[in-house]
Amino acid sequence: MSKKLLFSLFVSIALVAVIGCDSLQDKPASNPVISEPTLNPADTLPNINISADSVNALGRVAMMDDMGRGPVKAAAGWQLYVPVPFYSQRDPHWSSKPLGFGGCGTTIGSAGCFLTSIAMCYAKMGYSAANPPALNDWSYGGRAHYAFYDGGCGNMIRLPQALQYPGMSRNCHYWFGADQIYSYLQRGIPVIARINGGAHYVVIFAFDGNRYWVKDPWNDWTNQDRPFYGSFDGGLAFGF
Amino acid sequence: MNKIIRILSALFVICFSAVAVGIFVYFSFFLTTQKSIPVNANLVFSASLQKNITDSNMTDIVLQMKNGETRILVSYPNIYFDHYHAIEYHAGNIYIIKRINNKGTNSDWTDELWKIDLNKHETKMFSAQGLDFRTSPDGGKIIVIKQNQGVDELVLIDGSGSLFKVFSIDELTIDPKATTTYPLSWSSDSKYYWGGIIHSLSNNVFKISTNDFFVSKYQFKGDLLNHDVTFNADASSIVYSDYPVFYDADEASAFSISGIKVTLYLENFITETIKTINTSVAKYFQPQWISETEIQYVDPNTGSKKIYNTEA
Repeated sequence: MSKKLLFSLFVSIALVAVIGCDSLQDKPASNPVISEPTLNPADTLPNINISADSVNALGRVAMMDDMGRGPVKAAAGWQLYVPVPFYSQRDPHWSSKPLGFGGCGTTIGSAGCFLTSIAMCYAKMGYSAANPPALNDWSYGGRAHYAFYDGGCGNMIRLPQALQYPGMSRNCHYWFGADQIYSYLQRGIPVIARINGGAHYVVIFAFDGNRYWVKDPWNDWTNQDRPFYGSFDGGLAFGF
Repeated sequence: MNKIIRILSALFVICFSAVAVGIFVYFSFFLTTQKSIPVNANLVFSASLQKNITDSNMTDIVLQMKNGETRILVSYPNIYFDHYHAIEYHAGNIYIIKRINNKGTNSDWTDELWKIDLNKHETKMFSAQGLDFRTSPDGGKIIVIKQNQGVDELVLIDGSGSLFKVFSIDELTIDPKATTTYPLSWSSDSKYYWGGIIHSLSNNVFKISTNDFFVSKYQFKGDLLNHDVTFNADASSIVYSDYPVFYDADEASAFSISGIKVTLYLENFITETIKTINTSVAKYFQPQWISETEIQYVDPNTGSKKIYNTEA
C-alpha cells in the first residue's frame, strides 16, 4: 500500500472519529414554521343549554318558514337529510387507543366523542383518511397529535387546529344557536352539537319534520341514528 | 517522518480494530447471554413495552428490575403496542395483548390475551375482537372486558384461561340502558374486582366477589372520566372532584377563568359517606392514594402538595 493511500486512510478515519458521522449525513430540513389559528374562548363559548324539545320546536318553525317560501323538496321520509358516513368511537378497531397524548387513561372509546364527530364531518367532505385514529394521531408542522392540546391529560381537542386537516384553513362557525341548525342542514352541511353541558358531542344530520336526528358516536353501527336528545349547548359547522 | 506515520497508522488501526471487536462481542455475545440468563421473579418490579430499535415490526417486552436495571425479555411481532393498557406484570408472568391478522380492511382480525412467563413460555388466554383486561395481583384471576353486539360484558377467567363466569352489563349496572364499563382495580388480596359504568344516566360502580360471583352495586354521582378520579379498592373509596370533563381545550380554558367553585370529595362506598377534602376556584387537584388511608393532592390555592388522612 502506498504511503499516500495509507495517509489518506488515516486522515479519513481520524476525521470521522473527530467530527463524527452525523455531520457527514444530510440533516433533515427543519420543520416548517406554521401559523396556528387561535380562538378566544371567552368570545365564542356558548351559554345556551336548551332542551331537545325546544331545539326541535325551532326546527319546526324554520321548516314552516321554509315551506312558506314555496314547495320543499324533501328526501323520502325526511324533511332534510344530509348523508354523513358513520364512525363509532367504540369501534373495537380503535376504541382502546389512547386519546390524543394519552394521559389519564382516556381512550378514543371512553372520551373520543368530539374527535369522532369531527371525523364524521371530514368523511362527509371526502376526507375519509381522517378517520378517528388517523385524526387522533395526525402530526402536522412537526407537532405530534396536532389536533390536541398537550396540557392536562393531553386529551382535549384544539378545535381551530383540528379543523385544519390535512393542513388547510377552511370556513367554520363555532357554537351557534339552535335556530341556525336548520339552515346549515338545508345547505347540506351537518352540524356538530355540543350537548349536556359539553359532556357529549353528536352530529345532527337530518330533520324528519318533527325532530332532528343525530349520528351518535357513542353507539355502534346498528344504532348509529337516533332522535336528538339531551340539552343543546351550541352547534359547530365547518368546511363550507 | 514516514516511520512516525507508519507507527501512528498501525496504532490507530489496532485501536480501531479493538473497538470494533469489542462492539461485536458486546452485541453478539453479551446481550444474547443476558437474554438467556433465567430471570428471578422476585427481582422483577414491572414490565413495559418498547418498539424494537432494529425491526419496527417487533415489540420488546422490557423488564424493570427492582435494582433499577432494565432488560429485554423477548420480542414479538403483533403486540398491540397502541393499546392504552397492553401489558401487565404479576407474580412472575407478563400479560400482553396481541392484535392478529389486522390488515386494515379484513373482518377476521382478533385481539388475543397472552400470558408469558419469565422462561418465555406462552399461553393464549383469551381472544375477541377488541378487548381490555385486568389481572388480579396473585395472577389467579383475570377480568377480560369485551363487547357483545356493542355492549360491554366482563369475562372472569382463571390463571390458565379457563372460564369462571361471564357477567352481562345488566348484572353490573343500575341503568338498563348502560352500555359501557370502566375498569377500576382489583383488591390487593385478589378477592374483589371493582369497575364502574360510564356515559350512563345513572352512573354506578360495582364490586365482583370472586368467591361467590356476587355483584355489589353502588350509586356514584361523580364521573369516572373526571380528571381527579383516583380509586382505592382496599379502602373501598374513591376520590373525585366536580371539575367538569372537557373534550374541548377552549372550553377548559374558558372554565379556568369562570370563577366556579370546584370541590374535591372522598366517598366510601361501604359506609356510604362523602367527605369534602378541599375546594378550589375552577382548578383541579390531581389526587392520588399513597396508602390505604392517605391521599396526596395538589392544593390549587398554593400549588403545593398536601396529604389528607382519611381517618382524621
